[in-house]
Amino acid sequence: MNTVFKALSDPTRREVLTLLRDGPKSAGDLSAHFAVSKPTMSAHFAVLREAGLVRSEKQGKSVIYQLQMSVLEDALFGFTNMFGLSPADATPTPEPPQSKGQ
Amino acid sequence: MTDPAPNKPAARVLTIAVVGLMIAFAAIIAAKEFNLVDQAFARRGVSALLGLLLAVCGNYLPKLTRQPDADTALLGRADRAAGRGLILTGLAFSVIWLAAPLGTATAIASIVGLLGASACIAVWAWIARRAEGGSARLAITATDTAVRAAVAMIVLSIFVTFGIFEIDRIWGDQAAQWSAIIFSLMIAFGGGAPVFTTLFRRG
Repeated sequence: MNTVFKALSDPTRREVLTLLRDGPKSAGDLSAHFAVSKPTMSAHFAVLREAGLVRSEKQGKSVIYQLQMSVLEDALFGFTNMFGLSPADATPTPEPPQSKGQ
Repeated sequence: MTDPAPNKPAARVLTIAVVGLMIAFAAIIAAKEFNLVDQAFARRGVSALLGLLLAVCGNYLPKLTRQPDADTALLGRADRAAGRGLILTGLAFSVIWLAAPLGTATAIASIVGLLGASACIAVWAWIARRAEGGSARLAITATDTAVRAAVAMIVLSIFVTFGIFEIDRIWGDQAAQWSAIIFSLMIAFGGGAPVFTTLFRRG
């Protein structure tokens, strides 16, 4: 359950979940909505996947993400949206640490 | 990048919950047999657990998704609507059995359960039938979603149990026993699955 709270605590990840309510989307389509780097978005996707809130499937060259929330997780998502930061207030997530070679 | 078994974690939690509730059922029945609890307590306990089982199935229903395709958003909405309804129905059934006087609970709980579950199944089927795409994806008992088939059978069985409770109340013990035997045989010989599959398959 901790992973679910962690996943829902971030406004960017909540916005990703909101976008996925309209149906499955590719990682590229989702990333296009945010002014953050690819590694940061990948980190967000990984957190959502780890929490079991989304599932991913590779279709050709793109990775398709699909919402996978239970009713209670959905309710929790609604509560965090209502009482937490709204997606519009989302601040850029810190970039993941770069490897030394880069 | 592809998840090797996307439904596995949800299925594992659901299985633990269902098995846990089954053990609780058995414990209450055993306690009654050994006269540790009275008939009324056992009846209330088993019925409350039945409602809880329905709520658990409803909660996990939207998590047991299909493969991504054009209809997933609509079908996901159908699952979420049905899931919420099943949770409310299950909890209402449990609360009635736990809080209402035994006579009142016997009279109204099954009606609440039957009406609630019927409404959920109707909404589920209505939304799902609007979706475009292959019929195999729409059938909740499709072979690529075995967990969904198991959940569907549990929900169907609980629905039938509500019906048997009501038959017992209206026509008595013997009619209820015959109904239980007939429904058990139907499910045992796979009669329930095709009916359920047909119900949710695209027309």
